[in-house]
Parts: sequence; C-alpha cells; structure tokens
Amino acid sequence: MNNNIRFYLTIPLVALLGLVQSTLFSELRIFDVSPDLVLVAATTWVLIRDQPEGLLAAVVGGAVVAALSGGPRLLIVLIFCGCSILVGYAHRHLPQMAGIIPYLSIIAVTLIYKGLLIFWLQTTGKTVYIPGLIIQNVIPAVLLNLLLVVITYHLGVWIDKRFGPPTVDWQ
Amino acid sequence: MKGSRVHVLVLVIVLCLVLAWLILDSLTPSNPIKNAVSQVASPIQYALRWLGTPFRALAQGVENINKLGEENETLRKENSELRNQIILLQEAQLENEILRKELSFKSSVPSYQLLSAEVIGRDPSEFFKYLIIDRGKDDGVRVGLPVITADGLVGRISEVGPVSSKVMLVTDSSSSVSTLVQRSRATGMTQGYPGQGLIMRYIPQSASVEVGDIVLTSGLGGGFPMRLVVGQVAEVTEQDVAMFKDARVIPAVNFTSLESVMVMLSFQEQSVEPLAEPTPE
Repeated sequence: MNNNIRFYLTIPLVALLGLVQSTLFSELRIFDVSPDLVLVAATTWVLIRDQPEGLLAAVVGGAVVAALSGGPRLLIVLIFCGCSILVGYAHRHLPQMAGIIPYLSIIAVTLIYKGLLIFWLQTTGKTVYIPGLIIQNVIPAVLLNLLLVVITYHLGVWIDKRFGPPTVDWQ
Repeated sequence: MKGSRVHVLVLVIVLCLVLAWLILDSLTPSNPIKNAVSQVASPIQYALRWLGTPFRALAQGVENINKLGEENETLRKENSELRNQIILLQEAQLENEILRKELSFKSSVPSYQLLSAEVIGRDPSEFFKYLIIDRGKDDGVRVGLPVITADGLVGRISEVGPVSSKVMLVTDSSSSVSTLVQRSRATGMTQGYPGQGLIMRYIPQSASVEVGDIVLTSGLGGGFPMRLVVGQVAEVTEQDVAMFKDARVIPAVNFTSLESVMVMLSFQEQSVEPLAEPTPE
C-alpha cells in the first residue's frame, strides 16, 4: 500500500476506534472497567510506525476521546501527545528492550493518563476517593490495557508486515 | 524525504484544527467544528451500538440465567406487596387532590413532556460519567434539562449538538443535586463521588438518616423537579465534631446497562440569583 495512503488512513481509523471505544467497548466491562482502546492503539501505532504517524494517531485519538468525554479536553489531547512522544523516544533509544517496550509502555502510559486525570479532578476541587479509584479503576485498567496491547501490538505488526513498506533484512 | 515533509505538514494541519476546535469550544457553546463532527459521528455510533446488540443480549442472558429462579420468586412476593401499596397510594392521592383543591393549592406533581432517547455512546474515560443520546437541538433538547428513567434520576443535559446530546450523570464528580431523605425529610446535597458512586453531604447532625432510606430530589435550587428518586442510603458517616453528616447513596438507576432514557422537555430550570449587596442607608 502506498505510504501516503497509509499515513492518511491513520486519521479515520483512529477516529473509528474512538467511536468503538465509546460504544462497543464501553459495554465490555471486565473487573468493572472498560479497556482504553484508543490509548492502547495510539501507543501501538507509535511503536510500529514511529513518528510522525504515531503522533498523528495520538492527536486524532486524543481529540476523539476528548470530544466524546466530559473531561478536560485540552488535558486529554496533551496527555495523548505527551505519551506518544515519550513512547517514541523510549522505543528509539532503548533498542535492547525492544521485546518488552510495548508492555512497559502501556503500563507507564495508563498510569500517566489515569494519574493526571485524578490529579486534575483533585486540583479542580472535585470530591475524589483516591484509594477507591486506584483499586476499582487504575489497577484493573492497567491489567486490561496490558492484555489488550498483547493483541493489538501483534495484530499491528502482522498488518504492518502485510500492508506496510517492504523491509530490508541484513543477511 | 518529500513524503515525510508532507506528513509533517499534515500533522501540523491536524494539530491546528484540534487547537481551533478547543479554542472555539471554550468561546462558544455551539461551535461549527463540534456540530459537524457530531453530525458525522452520531450515525456511526448508532450503527456500532446496533452491531453490539446481539452480543449485549447474549452476555446479559448468560449473566441472568442463574439468577432467574430466585429473582422470579422475589418478584412475585414484591408484586403482591406492591399491588396492595398501589391501592393504598391511589386512595391517598385521591384524598390529597381533594384536599388540595379545597385549599386551592397548586398541583405538587406537574406533568412533564417527556422525550425518549436512546443511549448511543458513553464517556470513553472512566473518571467522567457522561452519556451520549440520540436527541439534540433539532428535537428541542437544551442544556440543563433533567434526564430520567422509570427507575429514577439519570442526570442533566450538559451539551447539545444538532442530532445528539451529552448527559452528565448524577455520579459525575461535577454533578450536584439538592436532595432530601424521604422518611425524615432531612435535606442535603448529593454529589458524584468517583470511586464511591454518590454521596449525600451537608445533612444536619440532628437529622435522622438510616441505611435503606430513599433519597429524592428536593427541588431546591430549581435545577431539578421535586420527588425524583435518586437512590438509597447505603452507609451513614457521622463525626461528633462535624457540623454535618454524610451518607453514601446507591444510585437508583443502573448506569452500566442503561439503553434508553427520557428527557424532561417542558422543565423550566429556575436559576437562583445571588442576593444583592445591601446598600448602606
């Protein structure tokens, strides 16, 4: 597939994933939480396709999640972009950890995302029961996202090999 | 190289569009980007929700199959109790109406025009409790209208698009509803409490609140009509040194399985103006 077409396809695909998260995935509740499909997809995207495609996925994903959410829109978009830059940087600079980077990334990204939203709730004067949120929401979400990244990352790598640009392997 | 430069340019354009949307959103309640996106997204959300219906039904069926026998027995008992209660309540209502007429009181239960709506999406973030419904400005929906189900209060409209709207649930951390305890008439403020569900605060220390008490909207503040069921008290927290006591409330509505709601179209929100500064004589 043409490199440009693949790049532009990122926008509708990630937007569609956002809608899937707010409809189908919101009903799929395991441990009483739904997986953060868009966050996982944006993280996987940057690991497989690097920048700027990864950042594009993060901007579109963040904007879709922000549009469908009642939370702080700018903060959500910024968290998505920040996480994408961070994961991209780690992926480029830690090649010796390539095997575990997807799993470490998703744990870090989920903790950053949830942690900053809890911090925002607290700083804006909302009543928040933090231990309850950590036990009922953050820990299950980390586990669920970790499980989801195993599927999305390997599926993404497979799709990228089939439809991505030809790669040159050193003999 | 050329392709890469174009990609960066596209990324910058997308970033600028997102920024423009965020700025417009903070300046005007109905920004054109949001309206356009909502018009494109709503049918897709509707279709995705429809696609998920068989899976949802299957999951619910499997979940319910074990409980059916037990539930059936409980419902039978409850049904006969409720029949008796209905008869008594009808009598009381009739008597109430006659007495109100005699005293020339305004009806305490005004009839509201209800608009049914389907839930087509939910907040993708777990910390914010919002629903997206398939009714918008074109159907007469406006910001602030209460949203209910047969079980009780769901929340209020927080954003309106042309064909869809966002509902802030009572369990959201920004939600605050004036409520009272049905049995003792103790008033308080029920707020969304992430991690705990709902919490009724500012209940006077002297007021009586017990586990199992029903919590209703009080109508104070004019944001919601009176006597909508909010939930049931699950736990009461009181400290000798505190001025007020708190109660944890279990919502009457099961928000996770909510598929359709009703918008109270004819409700007129009464905003309470702050008191004027006293002028020195």
